[in-house]
Amino acid sequence: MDRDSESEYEEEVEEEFEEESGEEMMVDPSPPPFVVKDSGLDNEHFTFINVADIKTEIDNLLSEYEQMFQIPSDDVLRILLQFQWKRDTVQNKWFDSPERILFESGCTPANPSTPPTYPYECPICYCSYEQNDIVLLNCGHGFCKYCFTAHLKQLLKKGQTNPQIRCPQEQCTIKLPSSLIKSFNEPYASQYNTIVVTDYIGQRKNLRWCPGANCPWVIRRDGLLRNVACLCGTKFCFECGGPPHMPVSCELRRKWLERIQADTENLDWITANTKQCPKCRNPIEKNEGCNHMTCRACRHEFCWICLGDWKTHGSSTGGYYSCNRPKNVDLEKKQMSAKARIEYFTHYLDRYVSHQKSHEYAEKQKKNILEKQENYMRHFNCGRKVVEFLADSVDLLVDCRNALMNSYILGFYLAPGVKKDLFEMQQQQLEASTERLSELTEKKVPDTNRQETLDFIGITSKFLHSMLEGMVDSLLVVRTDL
Amino acid sequence: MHPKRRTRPDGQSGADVRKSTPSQSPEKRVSALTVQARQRIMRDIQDIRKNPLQSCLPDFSADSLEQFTVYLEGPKDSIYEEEKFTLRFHFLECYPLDAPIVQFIPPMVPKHEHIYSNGHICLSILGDEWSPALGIRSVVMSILSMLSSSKEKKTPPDDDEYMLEAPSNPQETQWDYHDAEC
Repeated sequence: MDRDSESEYEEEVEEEFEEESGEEMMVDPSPPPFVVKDSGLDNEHFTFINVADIKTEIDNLLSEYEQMFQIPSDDVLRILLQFQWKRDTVQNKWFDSPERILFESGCTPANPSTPPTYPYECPICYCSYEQNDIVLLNCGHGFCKYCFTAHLKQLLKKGQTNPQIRCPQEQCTIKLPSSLIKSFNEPYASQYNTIVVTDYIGQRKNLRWCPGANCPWVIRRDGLLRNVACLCGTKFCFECGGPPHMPVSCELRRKWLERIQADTENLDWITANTKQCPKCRNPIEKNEGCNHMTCRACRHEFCWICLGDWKTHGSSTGGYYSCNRPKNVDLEKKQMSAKARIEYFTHYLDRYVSHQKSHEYAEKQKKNILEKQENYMRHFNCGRKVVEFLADSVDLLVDCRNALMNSYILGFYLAPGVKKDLFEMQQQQLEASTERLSELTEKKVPDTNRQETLDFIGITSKFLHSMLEGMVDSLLVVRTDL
Repeated sequence: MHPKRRTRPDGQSGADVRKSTPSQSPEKRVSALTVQARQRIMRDIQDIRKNPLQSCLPDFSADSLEQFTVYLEGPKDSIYEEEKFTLRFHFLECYPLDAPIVQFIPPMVPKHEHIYSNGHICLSILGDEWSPALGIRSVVMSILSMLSSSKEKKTPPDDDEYMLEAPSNPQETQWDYHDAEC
């Protein structure tokens, strides 16, 4: 094939692929300033919101209740802050008794206040002031404006995070109205706004700041998925803020990490790093992510995980990949024996560690991808757009390895049953397809098959999505006998 | 329920005065009280002198305004009756905007659920709930009422653990006040 027809061919492929993936990319009608490729993480389940838009959302909420309750927006804000922005609670309480909710939110004082006489002694600095210099709250407590401003400034300087600021008088239940805070504290007014917005985001279960450094985006979750890829490039779990770890839940992952940390000393971790060739017994250290091993000494091809012949694994050789299921453990028995328990745990641990290593390799590949793309462009004399598939494939590989690694935690905890069977089937599909993808990405530039890689990106991405989406169910049954 | 607490990570320990000298003990810290702070402390002390509090004997002899010592006696009809304690106030530059650092001086520390054996006190008005309208009198009264209402002499459940990691300045500990009494 000469170069011209090669590049033509590639352009065709390019178009086909773009059309295919175009539907998914169209979901977001207003593209963000910089587009990040969807590489296995479902950003259609998340919306990226600007802080300014959150502010507008809050303002709308305030004016809505202002009209509904016919009270000033200061009071609405105090009520919403008091009841964690919960619309139901606020409305129920309001219709029960407006007086009570106003009192509970610190809008009205417990006892009617007596107006102070002037000159008035400020209870902070004990100096006397005329009416002009006194900030009088509706609880009847007054403070000189110098002390009052200094107090607010000091609070904000110390990093106040609670937007409910009390009247300085001892035992007083009144909360300062936001308009007062802002009017007396001009340079800090915007800081107070930020405190309110942060409180709002903190109280909303479906909102979260991106944990990335200096990232301005707020993420809204629209579904049940937890893996977020922020527009700034940070990938994280929506629930715990840690690294993304679907399909396993935050709680099970934490339990698992504690467990393997405790067991590290007892387990022989070298087994995870070196193995002997099943045929010639040469020791082998794995240095790439793919589990399809070829012994350098005897050319025997085998699977790193089960040490079986690779012929029985790869779909290309007519085999069937099924290393994800524990074989020797009798899962039917309700209570496992101690030995069976260790075997069961080791089974999952081996695979977890193996994918963890592969995940690290994939991350390394990702770091070097620019260089590879340059090589590819030089070798095939093609454009930048053509080589994007290389980066895409490695991105997807990283996500798949991560998902597979975490899927073994879930597998460990899942109780046997239909759900687990389904899960293991999905896991198996993804694992087989990931292995193939991994192999494709590890090929040298001249041997790289673009079309095949593109095909596998498509297939693997589908498997990844179906496994992650299939396991967001909260009804997963967890083993209790471990 | 017992108050939980955690030590604030470095750099979040509050006002700049404290940030700049995080490892120094309150005694060693150099602080220049503002004019407002001096006036206010003098008013606080005068106030106590004019209207003495029960079971409280302030030490007016100190030659510095930055520190103020109060000898407390266990309140009448409480489980601490006839016991004697030493309470020390340390005022920061921006008092009363900043809360004073208040702690018992060992070994004169009451055995109380919210008082650690190094003298640190878990009391909301000494931390997040401080307000500049409070003063020496209100702090002493809160501590006395804390002692009066106590029914059992016991150290905080995490006392040992806290001793290992406690910062010299109790304000660098971030307290969670679970107890309305506290």
